[in-house]
Amino acid sequence: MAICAAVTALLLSTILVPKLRSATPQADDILVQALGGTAGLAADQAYREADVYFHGGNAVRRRPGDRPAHDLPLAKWIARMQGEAAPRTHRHLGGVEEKEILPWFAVAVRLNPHHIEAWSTGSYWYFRTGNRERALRFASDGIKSNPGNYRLYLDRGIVFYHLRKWDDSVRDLESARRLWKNLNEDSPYDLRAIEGYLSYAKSHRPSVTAR
Amino acid sequence: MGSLAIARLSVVETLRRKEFYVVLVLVLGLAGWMLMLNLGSSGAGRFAKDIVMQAIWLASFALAVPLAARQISSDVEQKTVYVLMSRPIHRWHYVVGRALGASAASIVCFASMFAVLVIMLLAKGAGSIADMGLWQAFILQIAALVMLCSLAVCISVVATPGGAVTFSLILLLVTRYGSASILSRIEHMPAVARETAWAVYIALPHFEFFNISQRVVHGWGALPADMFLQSLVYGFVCSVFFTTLAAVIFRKRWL
Repeated sequence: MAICAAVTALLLSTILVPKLRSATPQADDILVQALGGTAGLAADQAYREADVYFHGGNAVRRRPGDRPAHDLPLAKWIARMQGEAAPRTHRHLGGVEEKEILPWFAVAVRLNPHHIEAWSTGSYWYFRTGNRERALRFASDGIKSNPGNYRLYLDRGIVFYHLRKWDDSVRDLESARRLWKNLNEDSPYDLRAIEGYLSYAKSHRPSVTAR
Repeated sequence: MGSLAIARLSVVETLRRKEFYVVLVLVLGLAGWMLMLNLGSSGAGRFAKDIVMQAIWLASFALAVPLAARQISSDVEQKTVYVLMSRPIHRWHYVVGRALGASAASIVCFASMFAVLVIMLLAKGAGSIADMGLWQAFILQIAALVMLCSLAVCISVVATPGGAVTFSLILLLVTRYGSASILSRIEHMPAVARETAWAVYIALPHFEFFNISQRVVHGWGALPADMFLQSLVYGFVCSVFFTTLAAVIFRKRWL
């Protein structure tokens, strides 16, 4: 009986474990294992941290109508102590400093490979900071983890477009158009971007230009 | 044998234990990893500084709280307190000595880990160690550790070591990371609840005053001198208050 159970367990693990690993590519990651179920939340936080870095460490977003309760005793003093301790002024990183936000995208997608926004925004920022090869690789890695999402094909298609690789750009933009779904409020704008870039890329193709 | 001798005893006891060395090795590993790791950005100085700083700050708290919380209770459990009390010292000498000892031991642990950060910054060449803000952050963290140790010792006089650790950590985390958010909620409360919540809020130990790590990481420069001094004075007053309260409670405690 025990031998039967052991053999069944061995067979099941031989069949199931590779399937499980391919379904969740991050399962072997030590960071993900350490964080367990909170890895997704940590990925969101890492993605938000990129935004905080871009704003020079300013994480405060006061809601409209928010006013410090200065009528309460010591309130002004406490608000000043808290305000001075952390960055509160609005500023953006510029130039080479923009590279500082990049590691957070790498962390976010490592924690959650299905974080489309992190793949997409990360790819954009790699491109914007001049690291074009890395932007392409980042978008390609995102596509590998999320082959059914149009957004990453659009991003990679745009990178190819700017690199003047017209055929690659057309191929990705066509994949994006084929996979497009009305997923959120940005999707209609994305469709317009797909159509726009696709027509430009097609018009620049050597075969079209020669004609 | 006075408070200072008891404090010295606490530091020696802490350095004999292995927890600190394990944490120091982990911090060294993390700093080394951050030095070698290229996450796709050649100038990821802020990221490395941020990660290592946060790890050191949290590790120093994690070492300090159990250390301070078990100072008195382990003496009572192991009957060491009777040996110490048989000497010509007052009970308050003993409590002050234990609180000072826990603080001194935590500062030694933190300073060793901070040295790792400084070495990493020198090697990375990303963050200047001449930044005044970095040294202010170091001093403010020491003030926070002293305040936290006094708080943990104070709670441990009336609670079990486990309870003291849990309660101190909750107070630390809530005030250090959630204080601004709580303040925003209080602002939107109806009148009576607002004033009651405010009274509770200002009575809490405000650990967020000592957290200027984001200023340092993002290069916002040093705190204005008056704010820096006010934070130190606040930390000192709170530490004295918690230690005095612990001494008063312990004086009346049946051993």
